[in-house]
Amino acid sequence: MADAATLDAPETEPHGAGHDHGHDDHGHGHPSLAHHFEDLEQQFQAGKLGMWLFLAQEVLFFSGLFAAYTVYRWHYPEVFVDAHHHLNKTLGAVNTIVLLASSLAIAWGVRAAMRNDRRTILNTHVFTLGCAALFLGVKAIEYTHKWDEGIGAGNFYKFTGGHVSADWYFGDYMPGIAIWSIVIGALVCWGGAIWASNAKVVKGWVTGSIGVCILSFGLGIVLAKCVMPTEAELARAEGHGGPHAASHDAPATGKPMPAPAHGELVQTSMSAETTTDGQTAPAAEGVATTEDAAKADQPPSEVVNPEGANVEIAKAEVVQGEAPGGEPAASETLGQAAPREPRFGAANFFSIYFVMTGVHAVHIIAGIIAITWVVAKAAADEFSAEYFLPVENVGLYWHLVDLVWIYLFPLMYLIH
Amino acid sequence: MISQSREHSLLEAITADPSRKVYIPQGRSYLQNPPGTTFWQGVASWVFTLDHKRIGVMYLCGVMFSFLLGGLFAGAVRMELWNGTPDLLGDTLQTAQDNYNQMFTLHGAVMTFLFIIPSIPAALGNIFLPMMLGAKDVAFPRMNLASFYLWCSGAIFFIATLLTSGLDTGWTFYTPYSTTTSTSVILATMGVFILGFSSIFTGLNFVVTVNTMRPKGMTWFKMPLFLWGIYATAIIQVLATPVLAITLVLLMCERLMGIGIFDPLLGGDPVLYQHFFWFYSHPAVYIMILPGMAIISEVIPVYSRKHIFGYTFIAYSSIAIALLGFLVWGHHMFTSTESKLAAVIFSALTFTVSIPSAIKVFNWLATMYKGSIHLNTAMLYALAFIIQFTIGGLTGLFLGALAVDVHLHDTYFVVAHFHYVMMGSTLIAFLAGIHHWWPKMFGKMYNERLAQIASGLVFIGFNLTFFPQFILGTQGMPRRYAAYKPEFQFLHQLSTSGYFVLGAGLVMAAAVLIYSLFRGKKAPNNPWGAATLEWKCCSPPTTANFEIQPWTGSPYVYDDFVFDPDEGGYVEVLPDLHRSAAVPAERPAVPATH
Ligand code: HEM
Ligand SMILES: [Cu+2]
Repeated sequence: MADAATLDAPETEPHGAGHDHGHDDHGHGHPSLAHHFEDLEQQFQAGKLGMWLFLAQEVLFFSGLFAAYTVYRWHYPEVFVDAHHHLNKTLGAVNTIVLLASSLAIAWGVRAAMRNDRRTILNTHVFTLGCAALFLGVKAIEYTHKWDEGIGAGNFYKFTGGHVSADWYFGDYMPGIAIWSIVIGALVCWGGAIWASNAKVVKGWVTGSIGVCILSFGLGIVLAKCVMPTEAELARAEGHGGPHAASHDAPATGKPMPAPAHGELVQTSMSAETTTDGQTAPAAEGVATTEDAAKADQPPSEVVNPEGANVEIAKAEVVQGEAPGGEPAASETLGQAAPREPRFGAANFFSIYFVMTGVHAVHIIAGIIAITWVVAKAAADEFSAEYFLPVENVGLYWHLVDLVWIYLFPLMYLIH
Repeated sequence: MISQSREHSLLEAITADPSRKVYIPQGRSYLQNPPGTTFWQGVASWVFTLDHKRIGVMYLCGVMFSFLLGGLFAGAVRMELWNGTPDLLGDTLQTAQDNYNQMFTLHGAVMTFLFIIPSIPAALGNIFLPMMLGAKDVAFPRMNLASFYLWCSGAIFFIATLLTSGLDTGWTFYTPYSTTTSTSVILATMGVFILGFSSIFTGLNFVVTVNTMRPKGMTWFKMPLFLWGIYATAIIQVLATPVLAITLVLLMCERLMGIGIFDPLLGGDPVLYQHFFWFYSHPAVYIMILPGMAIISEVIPVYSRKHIFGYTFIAYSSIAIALLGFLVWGHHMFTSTESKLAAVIFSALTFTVSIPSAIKVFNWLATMYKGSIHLNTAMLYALAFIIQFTIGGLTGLFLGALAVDVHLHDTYFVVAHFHYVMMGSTLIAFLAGIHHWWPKMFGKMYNERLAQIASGLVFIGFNLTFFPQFILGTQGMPRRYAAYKPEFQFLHQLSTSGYFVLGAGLVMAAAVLIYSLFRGKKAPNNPWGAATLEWKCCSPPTTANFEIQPWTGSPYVYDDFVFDPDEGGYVEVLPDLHRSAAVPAERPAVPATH
């Protein structure tokens, strides 16, 4: 029976029996070879193809956002041009350079893995981590600055043309956060270095990496602050109080204010048109369709009187009661507690901005985790010229994250 | 097809010399743990298993549970429709209608996202893809397990939706209604989002497995057609699902923050949502049907005892469907302010998709032609598939024709169309697959006669439920209404009666199968005489799948298989001298160092 089987099957060794095919040099019994692969080569091919498919998936994930961006920019080019002036080009450029540098470093790290150069893998990856955290530090300043200005996504868009006057600004806390990050990060780095030199290599490098992240996050904040004064500072420099105080408490869409020009940062270009027309025109007509919102870029209304606004809200409620119909037996209990008023304008640009950069930032954070994992494995000396798949894959992922930003930067910051 | 005389001589050969039966070593079933395993170790061995077969079995249980749940919702819908006044699901007209909206939504969402999309690929595909390939496992076993747990978390979100305020948007979550309704849209979309990643993981795993894990000798064109179908499906899963994922993220943001992307009141474009949704969901209908077609391509040749006709055509048509499927999403939006030009183009493209589908049907028919057809349960389901898929596909063409669709859109005609393809085809293929592979999966034979009767009930019940809906649709009955005019009542009542027949058939099929687990006869290695690799190991297989790496012959040549009364199943007979001379040539050379 046994030789019958041999006749029929070219590979008849029962599992566990030694292979005589002479590819032991391909890593049979290699500690990193999973049991279901024939050899390291097959495992490498599988892992790499898997990563490419994952990246394809990522590209399609982002492509939905890019498609949405395209549609809205196509429909409302002037909104995009106006609103984008609120983004700080210098910071965008800084972040672009930071990410490019990190991509270069990680590519170098992959090369080092192929050459069995553990030390360079570690250095390049820690450098990449530093860049990633720096990027996030800069983004933190950008985001908090927007928030303090009243610029958020969708309903959180409360920009009124002037500085928001509030008791509490994120911006006030950022220097503290920066200092603490730098101090704590430096201490953690130091601890990691001690560990690493005391033969606790893996723990040391991982701790060091975390320290570098915290430290560079703080540095990113400092860097960004050098470029861009915070909203809080601007507001105080203006030394105001009264008139704007009210506007801060205004409902989501706020009341349009003639934008006071000050500094290059808060341009008047958040034109009254974009913030107000979308609110006034469709509601005034009592119809809430996209086309109407589109039509709405006509003369900028100066100031809408408060009563008028209320009337609009009331109308909007009526509209809303009908608009979502479509469903036959739609229940009547649907109305949301808060009345929704029609609006269109810069809020839409910033919605897209925050969603896209936010999703991108989430990818950066995932990348930081992945790179730290590679550092840990590299510190444990698990990689070699035969087996460096994780280094390669994380590197590919990082390039993609980088690439997405390379598109986001001009699309968001450099619109004409 | 094997001639009588050949069968006879094979039988004689093995009676004379039993060692000519291909030896298949028996071993411990993958379902069992080594003796001495404690209860909790046993539980852990399932919870943390990396064995693709166990993961597949867990998926099977999960999707069957979802199917039951979705089926109960469907029952509520059908019973409400027994008469034209909404009275069953609530005391007042309003509550009855509200609950009706919830029922059809939950039915559709559960059936689509929890059941039909993972059904064939993640359950049967997981178990059989590596085995049919001759591999030990899928490429990324841990990712495979992760995919299952993602599925579970998605299911938990659905249950949370149910327990909170439910869902009444329809399974498509169309905006702007979905941004304004007070039901739990966020929970449900979060669930779908997670299920999407579960599906992506499965697909990614399968593509990589097929590309890189084929053992020597398993060339692309020696792969069983099931693998081609699953491969094509997997490509769609990887490329289409992320678009749904981001769409749902945007929808959630729209509800949470009013970002004004889909909500017209906030300057958004609701039609953009439809584009995004169908960019995924049309390809997704092929995620549903391609695996079904793949099963049918396995079942038909086995029970016709004849080589599949047009192997390469079937293989390539799967890929063609997968790719063309990305180009036709606009046919769901003919009436949603789509430009005339776009509508005409989408309509024309829709017609092209039906070509590869028809190619498959013709090839199956040609395979059966002059075959010696065995009407086993799996084959009965396959025949039902051919009939129902033909009806479903052709009515898809009616709907793809622009002028016709303007009238039929959002009527029961559409409902009947997609039930013929989703339930009448995919579910039926799933049942065919379950009956075909049951002996291999669980090592038990079920009662064939009772299973055949159940399949008959399913066939009658299904057609009784859904055929009247075509007529209802052409007469103008719109979908998603709890109330209707008296003239529609008779057809609605036919349909509701059909639900009960169908339900009875399904319950009976389940009972027959479950009973076999306890009382069934032990299954032989190869009860149906199939030639694909999964039958070349013991039933149920061991954890390693193959104790001896089987020889990869043609998956559809049945010449060397003969029913051996001693084994109670088919055995492969080693080639006689004449043929064995030819065998070494087909063997791969001993691999040199590469
Ligand atoms: C032969 C190829 C097919 C063609 C030409 C086709 C065509 C169409 C068209 C034009 C519609 C839109 C009808 C309308 O809303 O007015 C439609 C709806 C639908 N089709 Fe198909 N179809 C085909 C196959 C399938 C398959 C294989 C499935 C699933 C397994 C499927 C599932 C659906 C579903 C679920 C809907 C309705 C979606 C909804 O509005 O809820 N179709 N089909
Ligand atoms: Cu479609």
